[in-house]
Amino acid sequence: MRTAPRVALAAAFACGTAHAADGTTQIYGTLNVDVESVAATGATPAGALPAGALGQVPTGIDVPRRVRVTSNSSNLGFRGGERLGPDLSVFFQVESAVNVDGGGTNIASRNTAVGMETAWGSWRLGQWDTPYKTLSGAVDPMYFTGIAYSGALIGTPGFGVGPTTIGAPATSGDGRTFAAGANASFERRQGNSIQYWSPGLAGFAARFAYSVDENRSSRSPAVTQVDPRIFSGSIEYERGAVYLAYAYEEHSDYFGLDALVPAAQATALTGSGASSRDRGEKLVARVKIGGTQVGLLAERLRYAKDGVAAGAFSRYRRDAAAVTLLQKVGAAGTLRALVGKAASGHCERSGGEACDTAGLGARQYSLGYSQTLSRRTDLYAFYTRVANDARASYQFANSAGLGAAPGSTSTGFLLGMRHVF
Amino acid sequence: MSRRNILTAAALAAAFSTVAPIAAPVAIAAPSAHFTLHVTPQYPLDDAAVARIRDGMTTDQVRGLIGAPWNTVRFDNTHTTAWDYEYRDGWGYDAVFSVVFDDTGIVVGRISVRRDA
Repeated sequence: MRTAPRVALAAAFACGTAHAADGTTQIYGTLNVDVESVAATGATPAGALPAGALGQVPTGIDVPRRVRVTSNSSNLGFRGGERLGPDLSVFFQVESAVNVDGGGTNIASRNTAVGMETAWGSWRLGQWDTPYKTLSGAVDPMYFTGIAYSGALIGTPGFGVGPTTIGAPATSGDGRTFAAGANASFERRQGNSIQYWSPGLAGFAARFAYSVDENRSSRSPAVTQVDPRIFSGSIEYERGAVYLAYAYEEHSDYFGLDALVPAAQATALTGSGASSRDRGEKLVARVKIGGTQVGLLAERLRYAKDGVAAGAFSRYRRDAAAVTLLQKVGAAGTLRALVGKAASGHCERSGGEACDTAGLGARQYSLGYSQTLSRRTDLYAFYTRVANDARASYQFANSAGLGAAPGSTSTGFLLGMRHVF
Repeated sequence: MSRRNILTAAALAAAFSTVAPIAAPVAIAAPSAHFTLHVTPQYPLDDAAVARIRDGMTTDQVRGLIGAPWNTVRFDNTHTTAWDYEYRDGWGYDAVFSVVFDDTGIVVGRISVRRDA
């Protein structure tokens, strides 16, 4: 079965659907657009945080209900490849986000790389989802995008941090510090990356990604010395109905904590002696029995910054978990559900001063139904709710223009359509 | 060149050296073929196998090439039936490959839908 005739057949029958090594280039895409009613209410009244309390300062600002048309990871891409020998082929992909609701795109803004497939696994260079992020897709029941998916609590510490596409640490709006939500995200499409994926072996497969330190500081005494880089790796195991996976991701000198602490404590681009190491660990489990799929996501995020002033926040750690369900209903229907919880976590301040994380927890519920009209077209209806404790500011992962003030509860109803071509 | 850079260069050289042709008969486009667990019997479905399916084939031909589907769906509105196969495509995405038959059992369409965001 794994011999030369397959190569010949693949070449002969390449019409219609492109394949990595068949020499053709395919135009493909997903248009996933919904109309959604969203609001964030119940914000904690404006006021100061007590000394030593981690959290964003309460503003008391609610976001009244409005209707949006949202284009949920819609994309247009080109993919193809070239066979160079019996066990050697090249593949490429250039994928761009498409803003179906408002027009516009940014070329190569999504998974884009060129790489090589060998008997010893594959490697690719470019911008690609980290192995850590990718694992959530194995159990996410809400198409792994939009306001309802697991990214509201998983891959983010809250604090308004959401999914990001970037290849180096971001800086604050005024360009003076590393205070940027993108630096704290563990839901990353990471640029400047080298990825190696092992071949499957006895049900196991491993992936590794390294985002290089392109933005390492010069030796100038005027600049804060940083050496920013990201490592991400995963191990997956699947046998029969059971799938288990573990991922680890480490961000060096990305200063994720700067997005969580008061602006005055953020690491300055000049004159700071701080360094950072942020780590994420994720466990994913899935069981499929008949028309039922049950999934589990469990995550621990740890942010650490050293070389900070006495009394400044230096550590934050928090755990979160979600249970997911996909249930076939009738011939072409699917029931989709998600329940998640983020704990308030634990923090430390430099010098051993007291640190308080009370009120930093949150809960998420999502429930939905989708109807398959063909293998290319789905219609769906979802409801989701992200409820923060008094000082927490988790929000919809796909939150453009909404956000959530500390303590608020975000709710959304949506009707959508997903078409693949 | 600093010591660190030399190490980086060595690591890159090691990585690129793996592109040397390997004699072992191993799947080219989908190294993770072990993940195609819902194909019964277990055929190592990958891009090359998927590429064998073309319009005009019969259900028996499709079953002979890539096995039985793990799921089938009837679409009354288009008078078609989809056979679904889970696999990992040549770019590394988990995907569902569907072969669409008309009511006489002839392939009239194929689509691979990735699980992606």
